[in-house]
Amino acid sequence: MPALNTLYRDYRDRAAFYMVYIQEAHPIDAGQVGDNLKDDVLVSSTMTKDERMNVAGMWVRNLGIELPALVDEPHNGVERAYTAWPDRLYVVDREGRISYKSAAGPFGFKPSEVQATLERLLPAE
Amino acid sequence: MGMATILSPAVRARSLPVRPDLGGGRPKAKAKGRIILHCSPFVGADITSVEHLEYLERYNTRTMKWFLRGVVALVAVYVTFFGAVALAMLQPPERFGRIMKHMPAPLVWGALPAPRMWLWARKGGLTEGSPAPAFTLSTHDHASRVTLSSHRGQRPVVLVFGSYT
Repeated sequence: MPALNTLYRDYRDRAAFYMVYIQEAHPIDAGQVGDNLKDDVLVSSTMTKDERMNVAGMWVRNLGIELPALVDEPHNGVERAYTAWPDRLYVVDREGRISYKSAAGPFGFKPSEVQATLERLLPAE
Repeated sequence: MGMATILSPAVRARSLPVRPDLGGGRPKAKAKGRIILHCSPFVGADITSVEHLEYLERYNTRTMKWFLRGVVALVAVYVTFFGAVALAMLQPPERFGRIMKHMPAPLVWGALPAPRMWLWARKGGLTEGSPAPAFTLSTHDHASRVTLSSHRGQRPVVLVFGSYT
């Protein structure tokens, strides 16, 4: 998360940034992992819009996210359109085309590649 | 010493003395070109007769057969496990989570090339250069709604998908 905040601070004037909250990766009812137990991050699958808003709020506060955060609808429309689960990075260029798509997270989640893409897309200062 | 003693079980066969008078002995058996005792406990046993050699060969063939059956069974279990996990990875997230609850996680991540399978299964249809799917979503504090296309012609947009857990 610190890497993303740094990226955001460095490029926020020249690019728009959004965190998009999608369905939980390791909720207690499916796929709970030891690290979350250790850190006391215990969350059920978020089914309703209110649940999503609640947990997304906790997510932003507890992880210290500085980027603006959006919340996917309960039917997971955006997650499915982008094959985003459990986490993934995209850069969309000015023409609305996908300029960078990371490999599926967690293995493919590499903020440094976003930075390289932005350097390519943005005119030199 | 009669034939019954010669055709005795493995442990005793090892300790049998060479009995040339019963037509035995390693040189003779070798001369017949029939020693193929690669993986039996009889390697090194003194062959004391043609019957003894035939007995050892039968044992050897049987052992080999069971060994091969074991290998085939292991391969079948591995392929089935691989297929089941790959199929689970192709399911929507919530179903994948439910299936994985019943899978032995250390085996999935330890015995299978799971990260590579995951990257393949979650590749997705979008490619670089294709139009980004349109969306309008609320901010987490209900303050406003954001439409992706509102940035078109102005600034690149970085999207970071994720969740709390």
